[in-house]
Amino acid sequence: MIEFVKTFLFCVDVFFVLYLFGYSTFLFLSVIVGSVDLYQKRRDDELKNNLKRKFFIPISILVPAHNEETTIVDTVCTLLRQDYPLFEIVVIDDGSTDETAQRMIDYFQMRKIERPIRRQLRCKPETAIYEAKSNKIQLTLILKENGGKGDTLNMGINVSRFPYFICMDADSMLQKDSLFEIAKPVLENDKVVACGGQVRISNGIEMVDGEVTKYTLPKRIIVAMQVLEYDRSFLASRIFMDHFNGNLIISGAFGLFQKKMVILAGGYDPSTMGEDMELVVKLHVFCRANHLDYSIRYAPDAICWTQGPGNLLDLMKQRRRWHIGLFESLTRYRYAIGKKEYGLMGTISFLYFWLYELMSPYIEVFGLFTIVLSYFVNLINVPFMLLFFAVYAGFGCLLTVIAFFTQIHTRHIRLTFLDVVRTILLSGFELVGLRFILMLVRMNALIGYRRKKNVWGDLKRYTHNRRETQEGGSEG
Amino acid sequence: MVIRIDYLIYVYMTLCLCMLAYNLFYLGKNKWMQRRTEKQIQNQARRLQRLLLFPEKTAANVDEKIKKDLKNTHHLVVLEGTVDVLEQNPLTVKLLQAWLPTLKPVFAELIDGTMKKSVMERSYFAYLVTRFRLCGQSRNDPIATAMIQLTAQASIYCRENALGALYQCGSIDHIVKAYRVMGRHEIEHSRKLVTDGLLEFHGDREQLAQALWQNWDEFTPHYQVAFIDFIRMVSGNFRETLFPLLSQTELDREVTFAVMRYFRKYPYRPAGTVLRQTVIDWEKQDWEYAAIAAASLESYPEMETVKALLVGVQSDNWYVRDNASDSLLQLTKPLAILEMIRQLKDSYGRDMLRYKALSAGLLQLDEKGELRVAENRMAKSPRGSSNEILSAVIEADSSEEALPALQKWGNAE
Repeated sequence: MIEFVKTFLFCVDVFFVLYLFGYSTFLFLSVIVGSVDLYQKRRDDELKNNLKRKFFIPISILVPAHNEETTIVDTVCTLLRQDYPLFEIVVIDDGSTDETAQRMIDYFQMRKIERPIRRQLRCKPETAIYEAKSNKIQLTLILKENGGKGDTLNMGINVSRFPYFICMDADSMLQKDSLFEIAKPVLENDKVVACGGQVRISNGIEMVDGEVTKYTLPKRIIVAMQVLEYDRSFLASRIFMDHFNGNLIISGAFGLFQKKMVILAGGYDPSTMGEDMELVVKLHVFCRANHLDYSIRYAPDAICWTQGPGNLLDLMKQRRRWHIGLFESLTRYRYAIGKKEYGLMGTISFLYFWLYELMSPYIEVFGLFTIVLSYFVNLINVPFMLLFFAVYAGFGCLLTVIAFFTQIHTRHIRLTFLDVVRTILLSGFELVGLRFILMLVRMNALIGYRRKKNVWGDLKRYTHNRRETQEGGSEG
Repeated sequence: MVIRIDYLIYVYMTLCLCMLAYNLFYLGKNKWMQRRTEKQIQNQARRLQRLLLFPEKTAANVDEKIKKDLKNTHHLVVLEGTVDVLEQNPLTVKLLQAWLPTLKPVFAELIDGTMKKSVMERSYFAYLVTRFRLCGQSRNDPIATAMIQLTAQASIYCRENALGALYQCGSIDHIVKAYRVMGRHEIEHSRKLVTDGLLEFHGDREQLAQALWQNWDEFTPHYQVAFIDFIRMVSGNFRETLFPLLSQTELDREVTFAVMRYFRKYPYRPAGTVLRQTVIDWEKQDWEYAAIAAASLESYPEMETVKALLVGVQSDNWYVRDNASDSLLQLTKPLAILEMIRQLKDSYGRDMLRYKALSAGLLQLDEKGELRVAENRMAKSPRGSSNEILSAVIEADSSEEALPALQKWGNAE
């Protein structure tokens, strides 16, 4: 028996050595590539390697909303401040039970109209349509039967008039140059079918006239840790995967898509919780299966500020949804793994998401279980184990801190000394505290998920810290 | 060989610490460089200002020193900053404009060295050539030749900066040559960038359009579309030239669409006939032709056009219906639109026209939910019944008969 346990633990050791080696290498490469890319970009800007003129493609901005009465008007107001010549805004109210629609109608003096809709994608029927013009920008509000976020976005695509659309969350704000920045990759290369922007946590910022005027680490620890987490994720893996057209996620909070391609691929899947990831993976698979020359890009300068969940319970809900979405997307397109025609996207990206995102909570818990087992059969060197954990934790913290500070100083943001200290401390706490809690959440995410598939993850919303200086602006 | 994972992690940690150190080093270096550059700019601006204002009292080597240093990209950045400073000063702005051309031989000498540098630096060089207006018009101008060479670079920024310099110098030959070079290298520069860039051309744009047309067959359809879009923005004198393209069946579809858009902006009677036919008679896979033709017909106020658009409004393609409705709103008066909505049998067409008219504020709903002409559009009461007017339009066989009817239609309101 003891021999069997020994053999088992030896195999586990080998597995974890390979697993951690792979993870460390991926993280390391990602952060290095991300940092180098951002420095390169800054140098590009210094040497005027950018598009000076304001070129544009017509864009429809789709804002799906469900019980967003607190933020919806603010969100639309920031969209109206976009420094971009041709776009429309389509707000799709997915059967809200609060005053979301009424706030929009009152604030923008919208009028009801009977508008024919071209149903290229299946979605629940509309109940009313309102239109208005604000600063010559067409504003449409669709009220529809509740059908989930994917269904709502499909309605938005059906209603939109322009060849490209942006999907964004109703609790998010764009900087005034965000549309221009996210459209840049399309102008540079018309093979781009989708482009993701960078999503950052808005809780600690002040935005005046579409520009960030004040940046502090949010006071709530739970939100501040998310700031570090987002910065690490967006700096590292997305820029790295962008190098081989392997990004599998464009955040639902801010992404640009070519409408024609999305419709050809079948649009959003209303039956999934992670409709954003599902669409991107679907586009990859569709384009590759049909031998289409395409590119899915990431634009780190296109920034969207979104509200992070303000308490642990909301954060757990959000992460549960994300994990289910990840599970659905990866299992649905599992045939892409390792296939030659899917290239590096099918190997590196898929393997990374399978091993280090989807399976990681189970693997980590399994690791903890074997540690306990090893302890009982006296096959563990405790001081070495502790040293190993300390080194590994130190490595993780260092990467988080590097990612955060790279984001800060390549974007000309100033931090107070207190925020610097908090960042360093929180990077440790995020690794051993938040990460552990979220690991448990993700581990349990799939239990009973089919029962709650098409529900919106209702989170508590807060008003944005936003101001407008011009007459007629509203204060939030 | 046994790999110890803890050693590997130590290695990674060391590398991460190096990365962190690099971050801090970069931050410090950046701040130091910023201060140093600002100081250098101020010093150089002072020296150059003295040279511009009091050339006889200033040592001759000041000019030489500034120009000698330019081999280094950092000194080019300082020079750009210096020019920015002096351009703000009303005393020096004109003198500076006279001094900048003296940089031309210096920049010509820099070309060989620059071509060996990174593409980012080459792109910056091209940017400065534009900024300081150093590109010459003559065929053998070394800077222009270099800029044409740079248009074949893989970097879109480098191409854009080089093209910017060429647009600014105002030489038609250089532009045509640059696009030939790009075509030869199979570079497909963004169409929007090409069209908008050509519009920034400092010479005679009409002549540039002529030159592009004369070399038409040398360009791929990708560039032909951009050129037609450019021509559309600058000249209405290409109607006869472009008209034959409208009927060429083997022509690239995007080029045909561009030509149709041209005839939307510049109506041409023979083109109107082709456009109307395109809206009426098309194969299912060619719906884009019909849709664009329907949009273009808004510039052809003839009875035949209204008839063709009424066919378009009832088309089974959404975009054709959409564009035909928009054009109908442009060509006819609200009362006629109201009558069309009442008489149209096709419900899709009716809904589209109704929505468009309501959305444009031409029609409105009364208390009973019935459609009527919007109050601000009811200037006069109609002299005949709207049914008669519509019938007159629909029944009219030729545009000669129809035009008076259309006029009457307009006067009726």
